[in-house]
Amino acid sequence: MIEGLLTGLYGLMTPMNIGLLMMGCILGTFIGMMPGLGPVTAVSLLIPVVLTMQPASAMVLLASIYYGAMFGGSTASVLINAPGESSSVPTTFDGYPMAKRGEAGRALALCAWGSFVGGTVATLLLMLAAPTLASWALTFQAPEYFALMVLGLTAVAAFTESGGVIKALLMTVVGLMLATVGTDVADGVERYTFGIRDIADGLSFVLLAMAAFALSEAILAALRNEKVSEEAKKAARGDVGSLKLTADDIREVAPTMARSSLLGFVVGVLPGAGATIAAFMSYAVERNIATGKRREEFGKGSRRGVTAPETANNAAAGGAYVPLLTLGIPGSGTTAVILGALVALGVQPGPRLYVDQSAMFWTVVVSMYLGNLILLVINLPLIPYIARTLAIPEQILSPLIAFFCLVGVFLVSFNTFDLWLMIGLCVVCIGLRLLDYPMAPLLLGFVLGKLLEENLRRALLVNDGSFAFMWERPVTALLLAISIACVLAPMAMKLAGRRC
Amino acid sequence: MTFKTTSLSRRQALAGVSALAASTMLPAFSQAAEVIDRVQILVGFGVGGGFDQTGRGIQEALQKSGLISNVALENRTGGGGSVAIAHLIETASRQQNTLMVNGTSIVIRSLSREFQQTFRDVTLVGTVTAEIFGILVNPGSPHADIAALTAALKANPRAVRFGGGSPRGGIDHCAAALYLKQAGIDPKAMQYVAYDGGGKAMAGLLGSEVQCIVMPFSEALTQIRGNQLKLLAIMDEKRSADVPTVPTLAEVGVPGATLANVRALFMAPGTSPARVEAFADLLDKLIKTPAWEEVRARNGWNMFFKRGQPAQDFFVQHEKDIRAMLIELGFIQA
Amino acid sequence: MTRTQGERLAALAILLFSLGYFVLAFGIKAPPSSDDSPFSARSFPLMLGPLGMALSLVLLVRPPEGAPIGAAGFSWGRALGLVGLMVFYALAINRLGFVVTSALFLAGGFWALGERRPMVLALVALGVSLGFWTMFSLLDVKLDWGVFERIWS
Repeated sequence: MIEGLLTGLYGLMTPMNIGLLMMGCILGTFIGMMPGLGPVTAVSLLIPVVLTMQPASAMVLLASIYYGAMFGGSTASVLINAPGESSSVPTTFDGYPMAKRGEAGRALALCAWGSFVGGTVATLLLMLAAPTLASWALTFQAPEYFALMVLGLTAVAAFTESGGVIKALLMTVVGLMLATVGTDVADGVERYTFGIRDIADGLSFVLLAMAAFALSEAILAALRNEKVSEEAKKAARGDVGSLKLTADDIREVAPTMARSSLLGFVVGVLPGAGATIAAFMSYAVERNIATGKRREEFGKGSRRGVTAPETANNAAAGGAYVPLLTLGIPGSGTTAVILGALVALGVQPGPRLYVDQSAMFWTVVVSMYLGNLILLVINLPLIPYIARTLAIPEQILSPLIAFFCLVGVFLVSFNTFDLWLMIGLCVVCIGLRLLDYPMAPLLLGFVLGKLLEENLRRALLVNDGSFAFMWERPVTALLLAISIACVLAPMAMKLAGRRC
Repeated sequence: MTFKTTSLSRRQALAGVSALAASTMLPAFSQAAEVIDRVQILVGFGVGGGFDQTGRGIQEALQKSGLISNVALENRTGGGGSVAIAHLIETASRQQNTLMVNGTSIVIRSLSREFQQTFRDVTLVGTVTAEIFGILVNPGSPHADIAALTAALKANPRAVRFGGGSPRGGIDHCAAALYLKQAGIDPKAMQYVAYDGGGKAMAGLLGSEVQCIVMPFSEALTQIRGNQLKLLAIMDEKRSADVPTVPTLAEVGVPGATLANVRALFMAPGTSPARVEAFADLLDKLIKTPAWEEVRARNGWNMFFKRGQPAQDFFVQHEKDIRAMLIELGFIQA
Repeated sequence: MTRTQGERLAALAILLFSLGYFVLAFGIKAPPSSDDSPFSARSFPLMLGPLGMALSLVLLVRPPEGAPIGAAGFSWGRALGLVGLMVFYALAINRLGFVVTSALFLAGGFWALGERRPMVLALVALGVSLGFWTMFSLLDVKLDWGVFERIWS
């Protein structure tokens, strides 16, 4: 293995490759930050260029641009509450509150470190355990996916403080309802489309997130005549020190990074889940295992809350390479494009890939390590400049945020219907937010709902309508048991507390 | 073939003449010779999918071969491609350089849903590729060959659970049903499990959630070559050069079960026949370039180039075939 | 409108939404030969509808307490101005093209929120929209100029 690493490292350490890495990271981060563009676009744009290169250089560039775009997506989540792409949505939950109280630099630094750790751990696990994990991923079937989604839904508990349990539950149900809009995956029938072709593919997650967060936030700020808080302005103006993590920060987030890296990687390995689910799951887990004061911080600017999803989504991006390399199965649009490129570059995916094509395998692995490292090195110094966005006066910033949302939605579909839908949803969300309805459960229900229903139906279909899979399959039973524990444990603790 | 090449060179010669005369006598010449100086590719589906890759492949090959340097690509998503179709129809007068990528999808969607447009509402330029359907099982499957699978299904149609990357009533479901029907088994008795795309269907088969999947085999070439999945038969008239040892269904006593997922190019309705011809010429020229061959080989696409009347005839027959399957399955009324 | 009235109104709206959702679920077509699947495209919506109705009913009957919304201090004009500009954006983008629509939207937005310096209004709005257009063009994303494109050519 050491030998392999050294060979890979030796092959990649040319000025040309390092230059490409830098370019890929910068371009990727930039594309990720742009509204409407994410990792898929970044990778697709580069395919024709990449395929003219030496395979080693090509892989370096692909890895760096992919991770760069994943990382770039978090920036707008933290700064203006507008997730650049779906796997950055949970980053807004705590990243934006941090930015609002003047800790934008710190939040972005946590994102950068989280991405680095997540990506590196994922590469390490890919190197050590890819074949074993791939066969494990195949045992994960519809019942297990269903149970995993149920576990993800327990994160709703994190959002019950602001408006009470009932409102959080209700918003989750509404999110689940919205997830059923569009053409059903199993039967191919249209549901709740009212014959409107623009929503026949379902509602867009990023559109909903923009309407629920950034856009309604910008309009609420105008409505309340809010000024950007003085702390945020001061911090943005050049308190560069805040981007350095203190010893306390590191102690606080290190366990989170470890857990989220592992969890993100494992979820990323599953072809039916992906980075967005990984980010939501890790947020749910962190919130569920937190106790006392730490738990109350979630949703209000918890350092763990911002680190978990960012670590997990990068780890999941690494994990997605496992089914990609060992089975040739892509879990998402981005990995499908990358798979095409890898095959064209001479990588023949298969369980024995790392034996039969060891040179290629090590090139991929080393390029992933390097990509993550350079991303960190390049982005950390940029954070203070990016964080200065918040020093923009409010009368300029709010329209810019609204503009960012409009462009972000329009550029995905070039369909003005999506703009109307976003404006309409935004007005509804403003009303709900004024009454302290939490928005995060809406998105949680929406993102998990589709997979929840799809996998439940498939599980029932292949088990001839019997629900017995819920307790007969060990992993399903375990996941469901954990979910129940997550819901019951706080209640039990409350009861116990009252008696004392 | 020779006819087409001549027609192309004649056009090129005329294009040169018309460029000279363009400033003074544009109306008189514009009908005789069409100048294509830029191409806009319209994809009705998201980045990263099959249609998008076809569009990007054409874009790349047009540019690298030096045929057309100014090629833009636009993803206008929504409604399973119908938003792009509607856009092409509504703005037809401004879309003289636009090629829309679609294919089997437009046929099946117009048949099975309240989907207004059919392929007749846009102008077919030509078909490009055809992904032939294949029947896949796990290497350790008790059904060692297609005859064994057919026999098992004949004994009990529910003995084998089928999977596919499309919903019920989608193209993968139709392909599976076509196989059963031609083998003399009632397709309605089939158990079909829908997955969200071919990749997930393969994961379902590898994990033994289903025992057999029917999907375009080019999507599974990696797994077939790596012996992770076994291709029992293909749904074409002749064997494929990519998998020469695999029989066609007709060879094993299931005649008439041929189906492919076709990708084709369309232009706006009302585009002049001369302009459509010019684009078909361009396409004809493109697919003979090394740049296109590189793109094709990289993606494992199976060429299926038809233009003019043969392409039109193919689509009419394609629609008929799929319609028959959907009626058989009860999705539409006869 | 008091807080309680607001809460009741929202709960009622979601109740009606859930009711509509539930009723429409019965209209979801069941595809043929899916009778072997015990859980159809209708099943999940049929479960969610009553759940939504029950939860919103609780909120309707016992509206939660909360601080007054404070409508008095709200500047409705500014908020409505921004929403109006977004509506303009959706109407204009395909007609006036990306750059012009974006510049007008931004300048209008700055003005609506109290910015009055003409240089800031013009330069920032134009700079941002042209900057975005350039960057997207470099990234091979085509953003058209609407009617202006047709006038020029």
